Amino acid sequence: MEIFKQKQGDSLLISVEGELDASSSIDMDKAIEATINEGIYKLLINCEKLSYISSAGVGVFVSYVEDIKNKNGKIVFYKMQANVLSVLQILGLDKILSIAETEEEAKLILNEG
Amino acid sequence: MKAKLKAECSKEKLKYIRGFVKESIEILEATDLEKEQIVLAIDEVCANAIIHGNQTNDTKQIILEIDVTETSLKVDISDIGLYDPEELAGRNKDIADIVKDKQKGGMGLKLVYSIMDNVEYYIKNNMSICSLTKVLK
Repeated sequence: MEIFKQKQGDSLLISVEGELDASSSIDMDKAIEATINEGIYKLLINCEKLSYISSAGVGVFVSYVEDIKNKNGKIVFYKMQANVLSVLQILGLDKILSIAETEEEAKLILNEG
Repeated sequence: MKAKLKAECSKEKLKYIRGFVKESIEILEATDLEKEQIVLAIDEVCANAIIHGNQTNDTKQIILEIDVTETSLKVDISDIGLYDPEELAGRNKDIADIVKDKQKGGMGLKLVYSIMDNVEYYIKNNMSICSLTKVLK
């Protein structure tokens, strides 16, 4: 798995490529933790090239949702592949997490109220 | 068709195990998405066995035995580690509470039980076995 970060104003765009499983989730955890420690609480997650996610990968994002919300921030995912989206749907997280189809839509959600 | 794999209890082996499972269930007459979900369910059980059952001790092994036809699948995942009954019970926790409690874990078994038709944990010959079955409708 590879993680690419790009600062965009007061938000951070994180592009994930490859498979996010119990092995690679540690790297994603470190990436998000570092972002929050820098005081950035608006995160866009580009999932276009994320080909697989297990519960360990989902757990990393889930564990930061409350802290980010408490800082008036948000995590918005976009361009999810069907298999990745289905994992969130099975868990019922598609109703809790912010998920957009396009980057433009994701940015609108990120910056709304 | 039957297939068997032994792998060390290392998280780095999970990708290799997924590749083996994907290849082994190729004959199953399911959609690509259904097959990917089955691979996920098996990955979750293997990850639990490797991390929680065997503390990622790579001198230990897990054994996968797959019995697959065009319409049915049975997978036995065996190891010498012990599963935690409380962890099994944790699968019933509400997802909103998992988010609120900032949990990283507790979702794997929710996926396994949702995707597979039957999930059974038991001990036989000093081995912990998780037996998963799926019959296509």
